[in-house]
Amino acid sequence: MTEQKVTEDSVLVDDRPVVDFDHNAAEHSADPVASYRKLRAEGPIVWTEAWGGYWVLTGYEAVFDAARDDEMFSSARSPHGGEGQAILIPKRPITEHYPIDLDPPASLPYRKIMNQLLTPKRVEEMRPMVERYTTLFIDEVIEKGEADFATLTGIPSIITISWLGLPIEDWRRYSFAHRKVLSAPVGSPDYIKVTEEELPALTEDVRRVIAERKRTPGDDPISFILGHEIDGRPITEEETLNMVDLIISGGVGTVASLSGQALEWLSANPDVRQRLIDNPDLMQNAVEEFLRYFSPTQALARTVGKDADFHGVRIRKGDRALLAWSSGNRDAAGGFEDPDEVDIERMPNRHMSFGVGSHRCAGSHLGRLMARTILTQVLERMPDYRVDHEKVVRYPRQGVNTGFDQLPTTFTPGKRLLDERL
Amino acid sequence: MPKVTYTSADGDVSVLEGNAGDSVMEIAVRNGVPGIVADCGGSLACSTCHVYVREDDLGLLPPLEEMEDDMLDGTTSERRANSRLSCQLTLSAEDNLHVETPESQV
Repeated sequence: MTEQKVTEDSVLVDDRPVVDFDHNAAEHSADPVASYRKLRAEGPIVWTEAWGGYWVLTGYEAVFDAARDDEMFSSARSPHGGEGQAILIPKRPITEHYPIDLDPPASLPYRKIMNQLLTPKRVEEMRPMVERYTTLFIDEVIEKGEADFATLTGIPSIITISWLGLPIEDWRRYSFAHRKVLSAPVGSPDYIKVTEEELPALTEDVRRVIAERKRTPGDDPISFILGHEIDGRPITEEETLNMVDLIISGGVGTVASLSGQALEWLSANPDVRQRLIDNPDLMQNAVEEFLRYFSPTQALARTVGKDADFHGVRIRKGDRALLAWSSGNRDAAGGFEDPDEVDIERMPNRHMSFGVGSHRCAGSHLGRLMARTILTQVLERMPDYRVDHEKVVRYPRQGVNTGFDQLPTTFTPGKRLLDERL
Repeated sequence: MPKVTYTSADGDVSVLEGNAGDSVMEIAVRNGVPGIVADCGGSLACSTCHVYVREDDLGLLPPLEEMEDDMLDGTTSERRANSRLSCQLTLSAEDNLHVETPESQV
């Protein structure tokens, strides 16, 4: 990648360093890495007038400190910046998500349940299911010798839906809706369809399943959640929905983003691919580096909770702020030597791709397992795969999640491994 | 200055000094001790700064609170009676603590 020329084009308005920036804009999505590099050169925290105005936190330390301070940078819904979920700019008017739409201490009882649901031990128990679905997906294409690797986005979707005990035949709907809401341009037909029709319809389906589990509990995560108490009283069905909806939106698009980008990169870097084929033990550390380098969830928002001096600027209560994990992950201040290089043996690697602080991703163990399984199985079964790099199509909007709409790939055909079909 | 001795599962030893008020996790991260990941930065949200504290030193430590207790049920390596999350182990000037880092944090 060519080094961008950095210009000192921020201006001080009142006491704010103002930049021309919009993480939802096509110009940003064309090259998010260069866009954030330019912004970092302006400062660790800068202000843009887009979307009613927001701070953009670009430096490793600024992002880290903000995410660790729930009082100064709140995740909770508030009237500032419109209606809806506060972790996105613009806000998205959807079902509340717990615990992310709450601050500590209100978030903690929900977080506790989420933690118990996704411990390393429980995730390890899911391994056979994760491996089976991954094998089934590869079985679907292995005999053809060509595939669109963007369809691998279905793997985390079907795993999440199956694990939760939701109607398995609907996995394509979940996959489509949760990808489009974050990747289709705001206001585009796909965006409007999924936000106004499909996501609300799926939420109603989840609501029905929760009511069923309430009547007839089983051995599944929804029943597990329903069996808990919040502050001494039983958790409600609505609160359960708030948690399940968050699990789905957290698990479906992110792993797809990570594995798709890693596979594309490995196609372009066959020497590293060969090292991973020869030394599968390197995969665990490699996935950490892919997490840092690609930062599947690029940035999430907070609302400033009190007036304060923060990393050289004056922030005010009610200001909106975008915490760019992806930018911090490319900042040498994070202890990353040659941050724009992929080093699959990088250690230590204190990336912020799962966020930082009290809302750090609770599903990271599962996310890592899914990503490792997908990459490992592709390398085992399609070791010579080649992405047609000229024909890849990235998401039109990459402000929240980066990834591919199309990832055409060819490989030497192989045999199916399982008798069942998807 | 507080002093912490970190012993890895392989037996590598690092002896490090910090400042009063630092946590065992912060000193490790600042000095790049590989056995401590501390993904969440000390917010009791990840269980990746798990350590086994030397039995003789357990009395030096702040008591185990409920949230840390819960998070210790989610460590990758097995929880033992002397398991703690190092982000919660804040040190005083005179402390001299010995911890063992587990085989794996993630």
